[in-house]
Amino acid sequence: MQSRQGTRMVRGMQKRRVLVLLLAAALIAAAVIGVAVRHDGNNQGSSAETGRDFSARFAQYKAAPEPNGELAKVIWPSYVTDAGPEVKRLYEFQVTHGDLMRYMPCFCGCGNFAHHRSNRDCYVKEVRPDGSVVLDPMAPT
Amino acid sequence: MAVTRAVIAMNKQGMAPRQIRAAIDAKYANLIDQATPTPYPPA
Repeated sequence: MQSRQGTRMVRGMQKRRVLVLLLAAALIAAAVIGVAVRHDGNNQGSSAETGRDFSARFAQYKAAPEPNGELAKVIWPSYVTDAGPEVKRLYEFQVTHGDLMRYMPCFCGCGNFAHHRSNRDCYVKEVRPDGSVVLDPMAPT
Repeated sequence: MAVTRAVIAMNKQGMAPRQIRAAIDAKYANLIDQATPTPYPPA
């Protein structure tokens, strides 16, 4: 009698162990799938991490043409040189990355009061056909 | 200037332009009504 009870107890414990293992495997699989889905969302460039995607809000607008300028032809104004090397570095990036910065916004309100069309307009007023650049003083002021 | 700083950092990390724009908008979501009329980079 005692032997049968002992066998039942052992079988019960084995069943519990199997159930625990299955549960753990299911949890690990769910975690792996969750990470994969999040990673894929990031690659698509959406705002999935915040749950908000603003792309449709700006779909009606057309990007302004923003040709790159030549740093060698830039005459640096005092409002840049006096502001220090970090500010100059930002201007340099803007001058040489018109193709990227034409798609980056500014949030200071300049779109309304200065009719700026992108972040670059706070830095670069004009790139002439010869590559020389007219800078805008708005960024550091 | 904070936007440009952030764009430079993300560009350096190798993020795609559309990813960078999405991250910028997410960071400044509370100011989105003041944003310039700037479209997203093509997908």
